[in-house]
Amino acid sequence: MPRSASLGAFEQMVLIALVRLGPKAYGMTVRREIEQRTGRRVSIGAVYATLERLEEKGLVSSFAGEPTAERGGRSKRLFRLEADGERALRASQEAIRRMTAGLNSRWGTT
Amino acid sequence: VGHYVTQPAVPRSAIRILRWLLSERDREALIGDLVEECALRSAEPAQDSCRWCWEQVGRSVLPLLQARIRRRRWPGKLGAAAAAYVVVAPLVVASDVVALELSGGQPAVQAWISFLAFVAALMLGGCLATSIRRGAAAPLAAIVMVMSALWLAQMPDRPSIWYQLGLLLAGPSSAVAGGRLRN
Repeated sequence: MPRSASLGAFEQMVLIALVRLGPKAYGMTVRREIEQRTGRRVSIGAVYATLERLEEKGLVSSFAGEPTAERGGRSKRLFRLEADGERALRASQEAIRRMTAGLNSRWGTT
Repeated sequence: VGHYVTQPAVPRSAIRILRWLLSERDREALIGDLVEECALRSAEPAQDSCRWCWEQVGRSVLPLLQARIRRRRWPGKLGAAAAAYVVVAPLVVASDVVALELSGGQPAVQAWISFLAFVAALMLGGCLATSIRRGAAAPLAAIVMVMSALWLAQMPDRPSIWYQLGLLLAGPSSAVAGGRLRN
């Protein structure tokens, strides 16, 4: 099984958030994006811990932004999805799609 | 993203906890995120904003602690500590033999020489562990504490509580002190 297939559910959510947010992806926006779209309460610590793990796997990269006044002079750490991350995400989504194929009628959805 | 009214009040103790848990690289970024989001919530009553902040910190502790443990590479440090212990343990045993020779049969003198040699050997151990791997003095202290407890548990005549406490605390403290000296 390729390594790309071993993404956890929360890791997938974080990667999808990075895709959606594009250049505006940093800890706070990723946290809010997941919370707003899933209705799940997400902690900023969980987001950072996951991003750190994904960065170690080479699936995302990060760089420091400019410090801003509204952050008390602290800079953002902006995150970007790497090509390996996109491949891993696609593989995970494809695995889920295959696993759930044909289940719509059972679940009563279209 | 929103309108910033005032500099938000993220509790200082919350920031202190996060500082300890986070890597140097993410420290300012995460705290900045929290400050920014608190500012976005400045329309809420201060109490609600503070509660939200603490909830975020509380729910962040476990994942950040796990990340910290993973980042600190414990197996490597434990290996360095074990190697230092292997070097130091024979020194402690040898020092007991030397103490017996030097004390001239006086138990109190023997105990003091033995204790001082024990402390010195473990300081050397802490120093050695830290030179092999930075931060390995703490796991060495844990190993020393466990081994001392096991040694005390198997003694047929249990020594005084002060001796036991002294042994359990002096060894690990000496290892940590040795590590500090090496730093």
